[in-house]
Amino acid sequence: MEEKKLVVALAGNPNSGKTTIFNAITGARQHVGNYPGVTVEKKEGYTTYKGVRIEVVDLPGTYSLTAYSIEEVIARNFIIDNSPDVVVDIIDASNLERNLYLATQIIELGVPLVLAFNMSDLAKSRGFKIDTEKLSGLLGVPIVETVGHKGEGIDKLLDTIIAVGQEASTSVVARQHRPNYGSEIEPHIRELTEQIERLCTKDRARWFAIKLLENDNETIKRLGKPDGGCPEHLQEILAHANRIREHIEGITGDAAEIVFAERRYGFISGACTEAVTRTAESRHEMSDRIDKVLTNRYLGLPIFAILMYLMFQMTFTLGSPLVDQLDTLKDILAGAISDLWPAHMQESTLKSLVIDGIIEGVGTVLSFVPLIMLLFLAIAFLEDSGYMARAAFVIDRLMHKIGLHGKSFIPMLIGFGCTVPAVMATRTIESRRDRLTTILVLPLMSCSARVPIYTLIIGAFFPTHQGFWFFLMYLIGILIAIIFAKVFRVSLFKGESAPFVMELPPYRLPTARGLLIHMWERTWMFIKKAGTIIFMIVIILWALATWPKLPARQKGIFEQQRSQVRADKRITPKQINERLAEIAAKEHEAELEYSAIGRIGKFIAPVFKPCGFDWKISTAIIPSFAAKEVFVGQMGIIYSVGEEASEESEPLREKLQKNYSPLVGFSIMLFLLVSLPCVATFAVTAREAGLCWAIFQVTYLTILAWILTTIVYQVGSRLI
Amino acid sequence: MAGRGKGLKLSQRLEDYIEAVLVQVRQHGVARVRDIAAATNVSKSSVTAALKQLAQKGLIEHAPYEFVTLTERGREVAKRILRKHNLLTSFLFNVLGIDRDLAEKNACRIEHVIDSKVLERLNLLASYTQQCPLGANEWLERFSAYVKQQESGMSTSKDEQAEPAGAGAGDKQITLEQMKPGQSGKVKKIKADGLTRQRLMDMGLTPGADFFVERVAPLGDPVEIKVRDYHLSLRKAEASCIIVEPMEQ
Repeated sequence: MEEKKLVVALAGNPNSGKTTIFNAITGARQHVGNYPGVTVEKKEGYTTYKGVRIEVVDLPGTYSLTAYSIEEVIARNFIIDNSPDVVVDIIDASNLERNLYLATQIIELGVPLVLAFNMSDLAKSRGFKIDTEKLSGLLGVPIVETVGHKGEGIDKLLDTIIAVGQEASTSVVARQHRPNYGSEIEPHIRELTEQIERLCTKDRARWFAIKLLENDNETIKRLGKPDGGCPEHLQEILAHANRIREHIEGITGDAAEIVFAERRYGFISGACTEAVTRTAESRHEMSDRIDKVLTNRYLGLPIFAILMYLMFQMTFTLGSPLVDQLDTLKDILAGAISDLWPAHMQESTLKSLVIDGIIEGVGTVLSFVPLIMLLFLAIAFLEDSGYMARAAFVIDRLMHKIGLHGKSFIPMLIGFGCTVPAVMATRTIESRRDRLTTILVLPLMSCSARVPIYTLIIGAFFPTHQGFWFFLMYLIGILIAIIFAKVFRVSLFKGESAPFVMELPPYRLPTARGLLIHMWERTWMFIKKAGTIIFMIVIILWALATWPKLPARQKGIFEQQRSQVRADKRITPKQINERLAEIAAKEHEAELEYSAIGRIGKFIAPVFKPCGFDWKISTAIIPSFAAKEVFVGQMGIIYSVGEEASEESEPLREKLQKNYSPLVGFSIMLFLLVSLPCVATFAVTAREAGLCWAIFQVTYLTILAWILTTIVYQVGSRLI
Repeated sequence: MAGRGKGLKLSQRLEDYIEAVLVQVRQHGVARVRDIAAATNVSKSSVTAALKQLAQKGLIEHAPYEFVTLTERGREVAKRILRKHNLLTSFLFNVLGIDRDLAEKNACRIEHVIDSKVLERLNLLASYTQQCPLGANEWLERFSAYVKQQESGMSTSKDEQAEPAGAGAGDKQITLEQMKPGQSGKVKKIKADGLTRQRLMDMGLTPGADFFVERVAPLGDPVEIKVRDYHLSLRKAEASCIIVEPMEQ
């Protein structure tokens, strides 16, 4: 049997339940990627229904189809350029007027459209009685009622999609009723449409005309392109459009864009008043009552603080033991592989690559997965329940003051745990400018990997008032973040700040399925994408630390020492082991000094001299790019206190005290707080914001760290 | 001008109502008693009474508790009045340079008494200024400079005249930012532009939209309003771009 194929695009407002419908149609057959060239998520999936293969593309959730945001331009261009067979607009039936606004714009685009009135159960319970048949008649568009999370109406929706998709699109479009802009404006639209048809294109001429009257940049660009446009006549058409715009402004006193939006809403209200009746005036809805408490003038902030605290606590108390267990599992795995390794190849490079490189490096990063999953579960809950918008509402004033957005708060908070999920959590911020600013300053929130470093240094140099020094480090990070958020707002991202016009969707009880899908999607993204880049960098770092190997002659010296110790009859076996460990540590130190990393460390040591760092610190800083806490272990290796160096280890603290002043200690903390974020952060920023921004982030933070540390050290050493 | 409605004599008040019905129909597709009452600033019962009279004259169709629709004849009458209104407003605003609110108010009053001949002349003068040999803009600029110079000594008299007795809120523009929780109103005008304007439009805050101020955030900034049956939050900076008409409780 020949299989028929239909391409269906899903459009709809944010919060309209588009994702649930997408999941209900496609099930697990999904593919998540990005739209070409931009970091807007593109989800695709397919299903086969009654012998027809239906390919579904999930367009970004938008309120409108203007040229003001990437999401809208993407949704619009997809419809124009890819001409899907059917566009399905998911409508939140309990919020009809605003949801239909997008529908009017899709109708104007002249594509086969099906409306899915989702959450129709909710609409009923809120007292709306929608005569879908009548409304469908008024709009000239088929309407199917669905309840996404229960899977109701999905078959009917698919039936309708197939029926519409198999008809000639011209006859489907001919049945649709477009908004009428009134007798003063319509003749002018017609004039302009005719001119465009004559000089430019017959395709969607009316839509082009309306968009030109709305002064839509993207459309002007499109008409200016040689293919499909008409650059030679563009000026003439634009001049005509501008005359009409001025005329409209003259007679109505409002900008043409306002008039068009107003008339569209007028068209919708007209249709709704005919087809929708309110059976009960349900003033005190559940959602309103919850809001009375959660966004209350006095209770709002405390409740917000408590919820954030709970989220944090839950994630880290439940997650940390799991991280530790995975860590142990990693060690067991490494041990097992080491045991299984053929005895005669114990010293092989391959073994070192597998154990020290892959398992150790990637394993460390992957052991964060439980933490990330739990955090995303909590975030998914906040988002799906509708509280996220309230959190932004409650805290926006504060965040706006420092040049960020209300929605930046939660990522910043998560940043104290781990920067990686924090960067991913910025996805809830719609404005790209706000989102980038947030991402760029996120590494300044002292993440949990900084804790071992602080513990080591503060323990060594500032044993009294430890709490104060900890607090100081966190505070410095926050202050720099605030300053740089401001700096970015007035330099890189200057201009009109994005408006904070945000819907507060009704509270809903999230479904377990929805939460799990949300959580898993993001976790998988972390594992997959971050995993590949991290893998690569870990291997590079491992290679740098492994080669070049100590020359045989030097290795021989250590071997000789070892056999001397073993042969020594005067000391106890315990002492022998101690001596052997000492030699091993010395050997390790020599190896490191000889390796590329050691050489680079020595080579760049002059650069760090003004910061007060010697070559040993410089060498330890390089691998801290893999994970900040690696610095501690690396210092341990360099100071030959054996592999067991930890932040609590006394010998390392003593060595540090002996070799450095407290000022150097503070400089180390400052540098590691500000300087280049870890590999995982780099990878996730590259994914979320683009490689250029990730490189910029690393560069600016590192230069900033160097400058700050130098100032602190130089000024400090003169004062003390 | 010489339509079938010409023989019909309507009182000023009825002219206002039928005009309001047409405006509502154009804006919202249908007219509701509630909206007409809000637009003309009178009680619902007086609207109902007036509508009854208009219905008797065969200009509108209106059964209790249903929407008001215009008959063919009523539409023509209303269009004629609205045209007068628009022409007058644009003359007062574009040529005389009177600010829009005041122009609107005066147009509202003049439209009932002006003869069509006079109106046509004014209209011609308006189009003449646009194509005048001196150049339209120059002509108007010089005039407005002259007006400024002449009025500089007596700037207050204009406002006093603009205030018809009992017009309530007066000429001062009230923005959404000034509204308090629990108050409701109607959007009159959006003064923002670019992205902010577009966002406000997309979210349904178009001129004529009713809203209710729910609350202000704990820290005093974003406000939450209910518009088109859903909840929307916006910063005070954005709210101050929205000129509103508060509704009487």
